[in-house]
Amino acid sequence: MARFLQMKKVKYLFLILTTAYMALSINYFIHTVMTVGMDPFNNITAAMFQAEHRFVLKAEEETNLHLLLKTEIGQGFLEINLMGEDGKEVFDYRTTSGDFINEVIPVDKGSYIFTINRDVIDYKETLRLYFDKRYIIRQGMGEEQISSNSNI
Amino acid sequence: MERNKNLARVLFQFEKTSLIIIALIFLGNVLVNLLVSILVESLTFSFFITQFVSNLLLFTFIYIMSTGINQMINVIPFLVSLNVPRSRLAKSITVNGLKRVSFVTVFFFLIKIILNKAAYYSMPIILGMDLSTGSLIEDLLLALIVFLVLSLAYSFIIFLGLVGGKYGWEYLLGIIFIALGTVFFLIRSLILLFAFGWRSSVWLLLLIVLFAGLSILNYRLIRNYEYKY
Repeated sequence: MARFLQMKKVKYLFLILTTAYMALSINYFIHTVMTVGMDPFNNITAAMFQAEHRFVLKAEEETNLHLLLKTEIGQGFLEINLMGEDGKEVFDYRTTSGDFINEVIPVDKGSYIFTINRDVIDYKETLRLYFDKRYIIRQGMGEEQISSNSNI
Repeated sequence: MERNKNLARVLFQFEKTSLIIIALIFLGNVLVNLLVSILVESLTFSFFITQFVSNLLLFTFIYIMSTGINQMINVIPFLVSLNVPRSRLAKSITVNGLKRVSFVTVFFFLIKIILNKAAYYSMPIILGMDLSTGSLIEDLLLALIVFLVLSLAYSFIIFLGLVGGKYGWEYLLGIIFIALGTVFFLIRSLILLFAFGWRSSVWLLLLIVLFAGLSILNYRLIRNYEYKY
């Protein structure tokens, strides 16, 4: 085995194959990560929401939504809801105090309405919502301000 | 037992200089950060703590890597030339690496416990865990992850050196390409792991398997080490 591995042809073949693997991985990285964009911290964060915010998530195939939320709320509430086109609730969450959730929400092909409703005072929160932009398209629905308590 | 102690002493002699250099750079860095946080009014003490912890992480990682490089470049050839039994040397290299990594892990665990008590300092959410809760189970899990990542880095660097030394630079470069390529292919999963802790149990298992596999390979490579110098 050692003699086989030390043959020059084998050495160079190994090097060529691994270089090709590396080149393929860089190609994958550029076309499926860099061009699509995937930074989960900037995908959707808490600072982007005021009062009630709705948008449509159009899933082109079965995939997962990753939702991480840490809240410290002095007064008020925070609601997160994901509803299918048929009105079926996929995910529903409400908190009025400090909480921490880390959920993976599987979604089938179809359109979903994502609602974040915040009516909070004196808060500190971290919200990360990540979805694969290759399979899910986000479309705005217009925003409706329902509260003046939000201190963003 | 006495021979093992002597081996450990030799291993430490080789890494003493690099340890002093790394410690001096680290201390200089900490001192500059401390001065900046005192002199610049807009920066708070939590800025200094963040810098201190991130520098500590970086420099301990550099220390573990430099120990691995030192052992494969200097220690193994030197001790093989002195006819130290290979199996004893192989065991010593692995055990000494584990000792250093364990020490660093315990150190980190203690710092994390101290930071838990410092209420003014809010810690980030990484690997889907809220580090500011101060949960003992999460702290232990974090310590296990630090231990496995550092052990794997140490084993990998020794493996690279041994393969490169025995079979040639082509294999060394090839293994680096495979490792980098795999990271590029798995970048999405890695970021999801870091931000949300997605499939963390699978990654943990993978780390354990990789570490065990590399340790066994290193043991065999050191046992069959050929002195070329």
